[in-house]
Amino acid sequence: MQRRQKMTLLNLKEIEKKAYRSTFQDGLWDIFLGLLLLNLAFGALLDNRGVSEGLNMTILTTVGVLIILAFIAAKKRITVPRMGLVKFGTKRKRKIWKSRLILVGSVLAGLILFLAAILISYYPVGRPRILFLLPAAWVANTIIVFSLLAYYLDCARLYAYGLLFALPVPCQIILKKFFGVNLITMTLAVSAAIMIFVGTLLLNRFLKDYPLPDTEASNGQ
Amino acid sequence: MDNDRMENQNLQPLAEIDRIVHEPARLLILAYLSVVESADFLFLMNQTNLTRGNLSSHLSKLETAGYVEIKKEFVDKIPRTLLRLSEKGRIAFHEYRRSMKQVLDSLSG
Repeated sequence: MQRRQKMTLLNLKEIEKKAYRSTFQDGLWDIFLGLLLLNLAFGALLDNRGVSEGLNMTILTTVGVLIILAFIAAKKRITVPRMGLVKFGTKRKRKIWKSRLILVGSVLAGLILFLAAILISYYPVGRPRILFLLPAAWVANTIIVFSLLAYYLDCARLYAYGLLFALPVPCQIILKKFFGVNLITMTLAVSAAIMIFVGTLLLNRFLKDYPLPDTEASNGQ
Repeated sequence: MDNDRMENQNLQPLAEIDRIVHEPARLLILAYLSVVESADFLFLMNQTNLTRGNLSSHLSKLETAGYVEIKKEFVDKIPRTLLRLSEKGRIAFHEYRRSMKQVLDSLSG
């Protein structure tokens, strides 16, 4: 009985979680992650077309930065005017900072993997063994990073997105081994499309549920 | 007779309940403000599902009681009504929770 009272009589933890989770209802994170993966698919496509590594890297980085800037702008112009502004407490802020650090660490790890792959391609000695390790490292990195992000950001969808980021690489290895085809661009693009599709559905619902209020209404005047 | 006195003693906190906090809509507003550092009017309106007029009138009462601080600011060139639980409001809210818990615990037998 006492436990039930605690659950129903103002569970502040749940209220805080609900308020925080509501900031993920806009689907922008889903679209953002989908676009990042689509960018990787584009990079793989350029690689297949014989574009030099340097140029490929430059294009990938530039598009990646543009996607991040677009995400920040979309949050400011789409979410905040409809949902309002909130600053969370110290505990939540700490969690958000941890997730940012994880993201930066993941990007760095990805960059190191990418550079390692380039270097290995120039030194054919011992390639097969090391090349086997790279996809394994990619899968481990993405699954660990997304699981940590899902935990720290309280967003369960990120567990699934971790799999969507990780799976294209082993899928490609299997496809190449058994069917001899290189479909890395396709496998990455399919994963990206799933995320963008989910994000678009969420964004559509968000725009319907949270119409743009006039400035006075949003200020209680 | 002794039982009656004991029950009265247990329910004493009920008489001391802060009626400003006790109103459901205001309680909800205080609950949301207690878990965030600050929020604007629109965010609170969306979270509590209160109408603009309703929220505005409850906020006025909470501000008059000194439980909520209301500040008008420009954020990214857009005027925003920022709300924050004052220290007095935080104490009142926690005191209310403690009293209510005490009352409900005593009612549960």
